[in-house]
Amino acid sequence: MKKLPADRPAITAFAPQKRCYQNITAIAPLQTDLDELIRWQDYVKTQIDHYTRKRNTWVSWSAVAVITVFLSISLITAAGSIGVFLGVPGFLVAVGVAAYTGSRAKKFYEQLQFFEARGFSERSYRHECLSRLLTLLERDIAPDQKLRLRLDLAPITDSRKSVSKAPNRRHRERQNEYFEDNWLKLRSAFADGTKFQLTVLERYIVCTWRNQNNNARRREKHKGFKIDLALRYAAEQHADLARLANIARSAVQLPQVAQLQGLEIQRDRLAMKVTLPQEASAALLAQTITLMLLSAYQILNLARIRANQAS
Amino acid sequence: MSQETWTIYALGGGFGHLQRALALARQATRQQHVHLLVNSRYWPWVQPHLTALFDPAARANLQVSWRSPDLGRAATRAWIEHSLLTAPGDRLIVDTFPRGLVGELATLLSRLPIPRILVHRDLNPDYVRVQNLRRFVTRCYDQILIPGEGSQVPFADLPTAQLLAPWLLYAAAELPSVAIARSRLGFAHDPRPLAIVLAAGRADELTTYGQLLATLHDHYPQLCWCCLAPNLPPDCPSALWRSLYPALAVLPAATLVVGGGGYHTVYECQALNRPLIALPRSRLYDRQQARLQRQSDHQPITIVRSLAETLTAVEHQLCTGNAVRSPETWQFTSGIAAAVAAIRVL
Amino acid sequence: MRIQLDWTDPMTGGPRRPQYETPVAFGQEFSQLPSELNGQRVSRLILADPALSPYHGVLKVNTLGELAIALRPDATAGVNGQPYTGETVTLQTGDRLQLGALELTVTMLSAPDAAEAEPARAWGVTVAPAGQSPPVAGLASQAAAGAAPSPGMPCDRLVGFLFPRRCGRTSREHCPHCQGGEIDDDPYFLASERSIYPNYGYYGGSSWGSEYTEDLTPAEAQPGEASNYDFTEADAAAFAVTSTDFEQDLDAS
Repeated sequence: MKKLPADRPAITAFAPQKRCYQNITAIAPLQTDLDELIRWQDYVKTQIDHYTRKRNTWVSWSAVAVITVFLSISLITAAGSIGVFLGVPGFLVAVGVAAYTGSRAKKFYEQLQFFEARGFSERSYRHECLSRLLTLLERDIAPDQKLRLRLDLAPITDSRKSVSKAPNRRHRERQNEYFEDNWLKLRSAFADGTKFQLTVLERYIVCTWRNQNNNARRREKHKGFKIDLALRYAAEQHADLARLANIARSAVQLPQVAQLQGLEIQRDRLAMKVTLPQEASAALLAQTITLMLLSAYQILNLARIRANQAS
Repeated sequence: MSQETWTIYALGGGFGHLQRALALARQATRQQHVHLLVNSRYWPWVQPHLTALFDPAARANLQVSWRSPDLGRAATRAWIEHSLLTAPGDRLIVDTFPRGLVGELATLLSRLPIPRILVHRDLNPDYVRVQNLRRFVTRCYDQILIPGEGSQVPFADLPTAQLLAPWLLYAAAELPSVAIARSRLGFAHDPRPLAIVLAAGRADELTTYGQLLATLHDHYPQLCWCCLAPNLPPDCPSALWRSLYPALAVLPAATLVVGGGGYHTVYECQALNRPLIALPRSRLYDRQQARLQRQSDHQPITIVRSLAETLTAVEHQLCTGNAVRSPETWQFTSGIAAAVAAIRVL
Repeated sequence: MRIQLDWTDPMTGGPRRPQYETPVAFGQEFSQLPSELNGQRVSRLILADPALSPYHGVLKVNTLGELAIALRPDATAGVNGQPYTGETVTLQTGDRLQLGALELTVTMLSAPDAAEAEPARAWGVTVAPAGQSPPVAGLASQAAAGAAPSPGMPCDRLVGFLFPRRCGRTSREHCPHCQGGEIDDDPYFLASERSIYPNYGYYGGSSWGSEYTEDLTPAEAQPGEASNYDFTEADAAAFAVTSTDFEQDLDAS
């Protein structure tokens, strides 16, 4: 019996319909799952390439067969008895070949659809970014510490991510659809007891309209990322944060393209908001988040030194 | 003679604190008023079930004050102070947290000239050490009742401690037969043995249970799977989800239970002698792993850490036949009656 | 051999007295320093002096059991005020080693000395910013060789990314940091990734936080310890203490 292709990664915490990974577990199994997701993405990509080639090949053969059918018909009608003598067998063969190649093309088209509906290759930077981050953070997270992770790998234009629709301000006949994709939510605690929450939100606009020929037109624009980091720590282990808060913004170092939107420090919590105004690679995203964490800890470490000295 | 009022302080997340308090109140309200202070997220869901849990006369003796856990520490502290100072009742029974959930009882207890009883569920020894709780408990509590947790818990060696059987909502005689329990769950006509996933604990843990149930259901169709949870866990097939309370009222139907290591999951399975496959959860104060290890000497418990281990454990239970055995009768004693008697004599 | 190096931090004016197991590789860039020489694990010392090479040289014990300094090609140094290049020179306790603008005094420690001497501190002690140049990183390496856990002794390898701290394990078995002793390199895990934040963990000189620390220094610092706001052993130890989050969460059970 022919083995059916796998229709989902071998991860129970991954919901294939939503293409969303959601789990509460320690860092090691989380990394294993992410590796599996990356393997799955590679597998899907390979399959899509494979079936695209197959489909194209069979569509080409099918087109040749159809052309041959028409040529045969022309031959039969135009060249009298010789035409009939040559054309009829040719017609019959061509029809057979066209039917066969058409069915093969259809089969591979269905396989292609199957994988296109399950893959998330276009969002590969998400789990790559997270994988990079976890490699850094595992040094500061206890091995048995649970992490609560929600990683949404569905396309950003998925209908559940649509937040509003409005006419385009410049071209009133065009319709803008706004998408917000809160694709990462990671919560856990570091080994020093500080709890953290990291969320990444991605914005996207799809503009649709019809041109003068009434053909549908579509333009898409990435509107950047919004990254929120929140830390909650033991107030008694950090001193003078109220004073430090005045100069805290200058402790924040970010990649050039990133912008610090907000930094709020209280005696037991810190919140940092950063935006990236454009599309970003996994490396840039991971670097931005890493710098946010380092910036936050540059402040907290000093506050902790002060608390130690005070005690 | 006017009736006494017992105030039960049962703040804390999850089901445990609320359910222990309700178990005690169910017995106590037969003779006195009970004022329950709770903040469990599950209370709004539990509340409609009270009429089935209490007979009308007892229900009239029960007053429940609830605040959301999202209220904030300061507001919760103010609420508790106001409640206890304006109407302390004749006995104060504090569940689990000697100093209160946010430390609000630390300065309040000395201002309450009534007998104070601590219901001692297991506690994180770090917390006991950090807050010097042994000294505090010795000074501030007249009696310590230890329902089911045995002598390994932090205050068990104090002179006022009294070991009791676990507190369960129902006595053995009150439990329904297997057939009735199955019909309550809607599986009366399914011939397969019934395995129940108890999705208790924190609301955010529902996801794990949903995924667990979906996987178990796929892997072991020879068992009839069902998930008991207040809300439909994500990824859980809705046909297998039941929103029933209390779980003990349908637990006789189970031949196998999968759940956490919380107080009631463990002791209810012990009472009914049901095999339990347990994933111990991490808690700030409770030690589920320790409870499960302790109890695994006395009842059929398999401690698992992952989905893979859960599947292995279910496989094992099926091979040994434990997962399909269903005793019709059970014998257990709830510690509630003894607790009420002990509180009354104070 | 265990040695102690003493010098004055030109940035803070404070004394530095870390101890190392030989061999000790030193230079400006951590990533350029070897983690192993002839099968021996190497202690790595970062000296952020612009006159030094990324990998400047190594202090090691020669076949006669003497402490010797060997420089990399083109690297220069001075011993007791005499410049030298090339040949290996042996050192005695009290010898002064000139490396760029820094002068380090060498002390060879007997076992009791090693036990009594001030232990190396977690952060900052091995960073020696010279002149006005900023340090390449606020983090530098304590020994890797000396960090290995001996039976019954906690491992003093620094681990962590955001808040480096002592490993403290008494065995390498199942150690997540060195993978059971298989990973001997960078004891400051992922220091290169951390270097995307220049001066991380450093609060002296013109770095962020210096205004704040200077502001507090006169009244609160001890003489000789002015502006030393880098992480200390006590700071590192503080990380080991579990945060007491008790009586905070209204949803806890």
